Amino acid sequence: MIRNSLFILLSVGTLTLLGCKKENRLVTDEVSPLGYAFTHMPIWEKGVTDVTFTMAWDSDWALDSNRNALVPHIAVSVMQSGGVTNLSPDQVIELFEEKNAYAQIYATPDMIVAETEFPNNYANDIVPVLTELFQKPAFDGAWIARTREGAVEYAEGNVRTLWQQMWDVGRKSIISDGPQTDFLNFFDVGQMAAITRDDLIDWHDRSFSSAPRAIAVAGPMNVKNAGKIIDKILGAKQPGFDAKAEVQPVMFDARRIYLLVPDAEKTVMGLMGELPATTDGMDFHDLVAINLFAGGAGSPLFEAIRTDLGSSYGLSAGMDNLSRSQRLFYIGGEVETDKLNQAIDATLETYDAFLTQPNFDAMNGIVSRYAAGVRKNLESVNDSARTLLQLKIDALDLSIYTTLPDDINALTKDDITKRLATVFPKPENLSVLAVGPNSDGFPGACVIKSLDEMMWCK
Amino acid sequence: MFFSISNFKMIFLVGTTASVVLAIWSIFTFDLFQHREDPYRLEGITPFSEVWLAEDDEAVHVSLVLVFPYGERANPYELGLAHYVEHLAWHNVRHESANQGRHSNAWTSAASTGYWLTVDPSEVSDAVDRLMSTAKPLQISAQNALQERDIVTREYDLRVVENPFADLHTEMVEVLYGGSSYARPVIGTRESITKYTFEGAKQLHRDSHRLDEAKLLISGPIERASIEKLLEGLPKQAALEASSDLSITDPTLSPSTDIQHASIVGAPERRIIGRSVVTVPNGLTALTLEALLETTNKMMLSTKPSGLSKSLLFDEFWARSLHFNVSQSGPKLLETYLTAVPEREVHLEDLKREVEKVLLNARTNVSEADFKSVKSRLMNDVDSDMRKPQTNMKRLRTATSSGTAYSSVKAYRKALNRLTFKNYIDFQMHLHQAPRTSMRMITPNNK
Repeated sequence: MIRNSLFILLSVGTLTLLGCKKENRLVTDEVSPLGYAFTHMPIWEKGVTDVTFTMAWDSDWALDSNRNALVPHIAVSVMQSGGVTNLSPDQVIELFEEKNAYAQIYATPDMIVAETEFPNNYANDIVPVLTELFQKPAFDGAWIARTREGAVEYAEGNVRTLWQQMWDVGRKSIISDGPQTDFLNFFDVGQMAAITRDDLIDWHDRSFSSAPRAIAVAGPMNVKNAGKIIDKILGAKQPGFDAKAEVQPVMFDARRIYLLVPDAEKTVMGLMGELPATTDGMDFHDLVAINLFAGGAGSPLFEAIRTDLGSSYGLSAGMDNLSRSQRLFYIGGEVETDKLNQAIDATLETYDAFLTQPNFDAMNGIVSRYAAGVRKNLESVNDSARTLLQLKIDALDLSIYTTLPDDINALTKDDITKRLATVFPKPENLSVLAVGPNSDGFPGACVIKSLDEMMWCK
Repeated sequence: MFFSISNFKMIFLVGTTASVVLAIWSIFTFDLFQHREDPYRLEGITPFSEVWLAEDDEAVHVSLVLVFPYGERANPYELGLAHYVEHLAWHNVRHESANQGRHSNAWTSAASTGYWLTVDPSEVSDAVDRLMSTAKPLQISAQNALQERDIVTREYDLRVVENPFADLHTEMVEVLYGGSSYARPVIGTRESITKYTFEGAKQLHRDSHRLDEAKLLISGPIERASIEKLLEGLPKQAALEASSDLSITDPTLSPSTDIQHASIVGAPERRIIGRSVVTVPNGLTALTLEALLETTNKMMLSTKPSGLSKSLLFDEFWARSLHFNVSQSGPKLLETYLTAVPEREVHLEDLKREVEKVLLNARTNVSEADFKSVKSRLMNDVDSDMRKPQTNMKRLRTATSSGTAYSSVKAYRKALNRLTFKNYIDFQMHLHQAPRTSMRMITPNNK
């Protein structure tokens, strides 16, 4: 009898282990008891103790001209700072430190993203605190004042680097004035100083009255417990709101603008153009293409601007989001003031040549490094959760999580050539911007002394 | 049946029991935290002073780093010349490559100059040649060397111009380390850069880039036998008499307190910056020192009563942000760096007084419970690092570039575990007695 029982016990145990191993990193879509849809990926691997929850909400607060677009910046900071019923703010930090946990929340013009990670065995300590921070943030008056006043004091200092000013010009030329630009610039003293506690409460009520657009959970936790925690943190589902405000329209109209800063000791240039949103699932093509063009010594951009012209320590190239649906491509950096004209010409010529006849000598090396890096990153719990969240936000197939390193490795020259030909902006469609001390600007540029003067630039 | 159910049960039981016994045995006989990827030194390898290898089968590429033990501190010529030499020598690496330097870069620090690249396993031999070429005569033309000097100026612009505190730190460093090699800025100055000559760079290069003094670090999917075969028979660099005096002058730490107000163009907000220097305490091993530094930094920024944050950022709103770090400055010195941004209504003088009071308390009135709690957190962090295969290779790279001896994370864990409360409070008192301090109370001077 005892022997039979032992046999049954061992068998069940072995089969259970086998069962766990089978579902390891298996991505599924689930629904919590209160009805929140979430993506779940269990990770049952040696040494993995932490679980990550990450969530994203749509938001139109910073797009609405009837609202103060800077409120989200202050609100997300204060939301995390206020403490909870039995714990002061520093005690909350102490708890998270003690349990090796973290939580963060940040805002973009049209989204709010929250993330938390904690060891599974400390869920009972961490989740109640998260629940209160999320559902009933203290929005303590003193903390609001110190956060707001800190931001105001910084803005009043009116210190913008030339790089920041170049981006100010770029954004204004692309999306003009409006709440979205105010949010992205985050520099309007008047708007900052006007933020009140009621604004923060209003923002909170509105922002989290809808279910998240996406939730992703990764780590050593089963579906049932993940669902319970989601429900605990988020609480009962709310009726939601109708998002009214939309992103501001973009105008990539290839303007040439020079912002004159007479006492600048150097010059910054930037070129910007439009790219499609990440919803087409091909931004890793763009990453490889940009690296081919601008990735370090030996790349066409480096050779043209640094080796041949000697005008810069280096220009960078990359992508940036003005909102989830608005993405841009940029090339930019510091150049020697006296060589600005040549640097602009050389950059445009090099970019044009690259679009039409890219050199693929470095492709294998770039692709294999990206693939290896992504594979390595996806071993971690939080990178896994973040990747799943981004796939869900863009409504892409979740299987990409598993195939991404191989997809990158499988990229061909034809893939990149086609991408360059179809979506990358043509040189003549790039806006060309510069900030520096030369009152002549550069050929064809509208020279301005302040952002307000941009209204005269065609 | 030949194979009955009862036979199956017996086999299953025996098999499972054997597995359990084997697992328990392995726990006690193998080091759970030893990784195949841990670096080890290859003996008797010329022409380098040391060669280290970490076999990492999970990596796709091989990483190679060549480190020369001379940085700006050892440069006796124009300020920042060691950095210019690195720019020129890196051209040797690029020159040797069809890809002209992709996946490659270099650095200069106070203590070392290093060159690295990552390659496919099939390219390791070529990679070693390319790195060794940094010790060969500079291949760049005189004209391009002049252009590269302009590039160094561009780099200076990037790192220094628009940094509102750059000049301030130069001033403070001069006060703390004045007249010694430690006061030399790695990036140089705008004026010193204009004085670089190709001949001067070649001279410093000859003396500072000697393979028999360099360390080569290799990690990736590569086996010991193939590296040993590759390195076997490499030609030794001919020993030349050095014409440069690359010795380092240490600062004399006579007591000095320098406190000033400063009105800075481009400063975004008011702040206090404080720096102090003290010698490394006698009798401490490198690992114990590392443990003390880590514990101090973690404690000071924690919300423990024995730290700084609770009093300055939470109990009362004195500061809106705070940064604290104590680190080694060369083999014999420790530097403490603290910066605090006051709340809007707080005067700088009041913040200074409060910071000094809280820092004194944090050094002289430490709770043993706080110490044990912080030490426990650090132990958890170290245990987590010990599970990562690349931790020791990272430690090796850091040690090599800073000119200190390498020790494994396991050895560090032992030292941390042995750290006592008395070690900690003695260390805090030692830091508190730093003879040279420099502080600036900064207000913005913006239009």
